[in-house]
Formats: sequence, structure tokens, C-alpha cells
Amino acid sequence: MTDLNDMDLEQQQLARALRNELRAAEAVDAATSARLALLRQQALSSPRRLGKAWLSGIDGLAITAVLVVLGIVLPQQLPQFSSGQASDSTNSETVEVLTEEPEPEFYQDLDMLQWLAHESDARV
Amino acid sequence: MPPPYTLATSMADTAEHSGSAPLSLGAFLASSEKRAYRRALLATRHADDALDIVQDAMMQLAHRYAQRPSSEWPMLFARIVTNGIRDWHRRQTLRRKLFFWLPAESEDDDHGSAVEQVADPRAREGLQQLANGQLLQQLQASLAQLPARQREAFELRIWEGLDVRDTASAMACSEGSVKTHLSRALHRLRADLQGYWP
Repeated sequence: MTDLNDMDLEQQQLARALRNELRAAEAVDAATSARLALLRQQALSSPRRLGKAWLSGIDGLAITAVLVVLGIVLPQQLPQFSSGQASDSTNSETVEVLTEEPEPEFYQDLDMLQWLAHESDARV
Repeated sequence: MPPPYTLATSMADTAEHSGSAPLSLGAFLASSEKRAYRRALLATRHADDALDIVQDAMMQLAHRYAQRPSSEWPMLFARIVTNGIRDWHRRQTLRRKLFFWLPAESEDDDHGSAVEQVADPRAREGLQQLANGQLLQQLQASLAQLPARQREAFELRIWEGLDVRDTASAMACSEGSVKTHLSRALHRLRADLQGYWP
């Protein structure tokens, strides 16, 4: 019997009497007893149930974590990606401008440009 | 090597555990399941809900704590059942808030009073030889009306037979709180059962 010495004598007597009453009434009907026995057998013989629940919990946690990470990372990555694209395209356009052949109009105005250069040298 | 399950715990004074050999988990559950069912039934007043709580408790004990020393099983099992009952009450509270427009379930409906559902016919029959079953019915009704923490302290400490330390662990509170809750519970039960007490 569990030690009840931490109580006073009156409480001990009451506690013991109530315990006896409750334990005397613990019997259950046959159908409930059979169901309890079945549940006990399932608990002892089916180690997968909690394992599956644990696994599904981990799966859910993993999926949630991936979604959260994607939700955080993607918005940050996308602008960088697009700005990177923009800078790359700007650089490539610059290179193209520098490397492409001048248009014919550029040579048509070449005489005037030479004249302007000559005039400016004469003034100096 | 953990000691066999012969400590001053809930099952030590039951017939199933009179021997000195260590218990198997199955034997422990077989000896504890009816009490757990009674506790859950007293709290929920629904047989199926009570069976669900006991089933979950058995599953958790079997799959999480089977490797623990058998001397710890009573405390662990009682704690799991207590937590299951608490969770059940939380779900009921949440359900009442979500579905507040639905009529509340009557505790004294066609299935009879809660006390009649809790009290086993055979137990009542046995008690009638002593006091016409009145004491047990009143005791169960009074227990059902105790505040949750007081009822937990009484059930774990007196009904389950855990010591103060294990009760405090199961209730996740201090030993002083256990004594306070238990003292108040006993005081109230004494008052409720005054007519049946010498």
C-alpha cells in the first residue's frame, strides 16, 4: 500500500476507505473487458502505428520546412536573378555596340568631322 | 538492473503482482487497463471516448516507454492517461466554442445518469451488500464535480496509489501543489460524503 504518512490520521483513514471503494468497483462488464484485451493486444503487437504516426509527422514537418525555406529564399533569389540577368544583358549590349560595324551614315559624315577637327586645330 | 515491479505503486497490492518476478508489459497493462478505463470513463462519461484514451495510452506506453524500467510504468501510464483526459477536455472545450450554436449534450440523457454509466453493475451489486451502492455513486458523482487538478491529485495519489513524487511528476507540478490539491479534494469529498461516513 502506498505510503500515506504525509497526511494526518483522519485523512489517511478517509483516503484508504475511498481507495478501497473505488478499487472494489473497477470491474467492467465482459464486453468492455474483451475490448480492452483486444486493444491491449493491438498495442503490444502492432509497433507500426505510432511509427507511422511519427513518420507522417516527420514527413509533414519536412514538407513544411521545405515550403518555408522556399518561401523565404525564392523571393530573395528571384530579384537577384532578374537583376543579374539585367546586368548581363547590359554588358552584352555594350560589347555588341563596341564590336559592331559602324553604319554607312557614319562614313558619309566623315568629311565634315575631319573639317571640324581641322578647324579646331587651326584655332588652337 | 531495474528492480522488479514490486515497489509501492499502484499495482503492488493487487493480486496480479503478488509475485517477485519482473512484470511483462502485457501483464502490467492487463492489470492497469480497467482502472485506466474507469478513470477515463469518470472524466468523459462516454465509453467509446474512454476506450480511445486507454488505447492511446497503451500504445504510447508500449512504443515509447517499454524499454524503461518496469517500476516506472505505473507513473508513466497514469501520466499518459491523465494527459489523454486533459486533451479530451481541451477538445471538448474547443468543440463547444466552435459549434456553440449546437445544443449541449445532456449529461443525464436517455442513457442514464453519469453515475449510472460509470458504476459497474457488478460493482454496485457488491457494494449493495455493504451500503446499497449509495456511497460509491455519491463518491463518483463528487469526484466528477471536483476541479480538474484536485481530481487528478486524488486519482493519481489515492486511486492509482502513486507516491507524492510520482504524482507531482505525472501532474507536472511541485510536490507541495500535489499535497495542496489532495488536501482540498479530500476535504471536499469528506463534506460530500458526510451522510455516508461514520
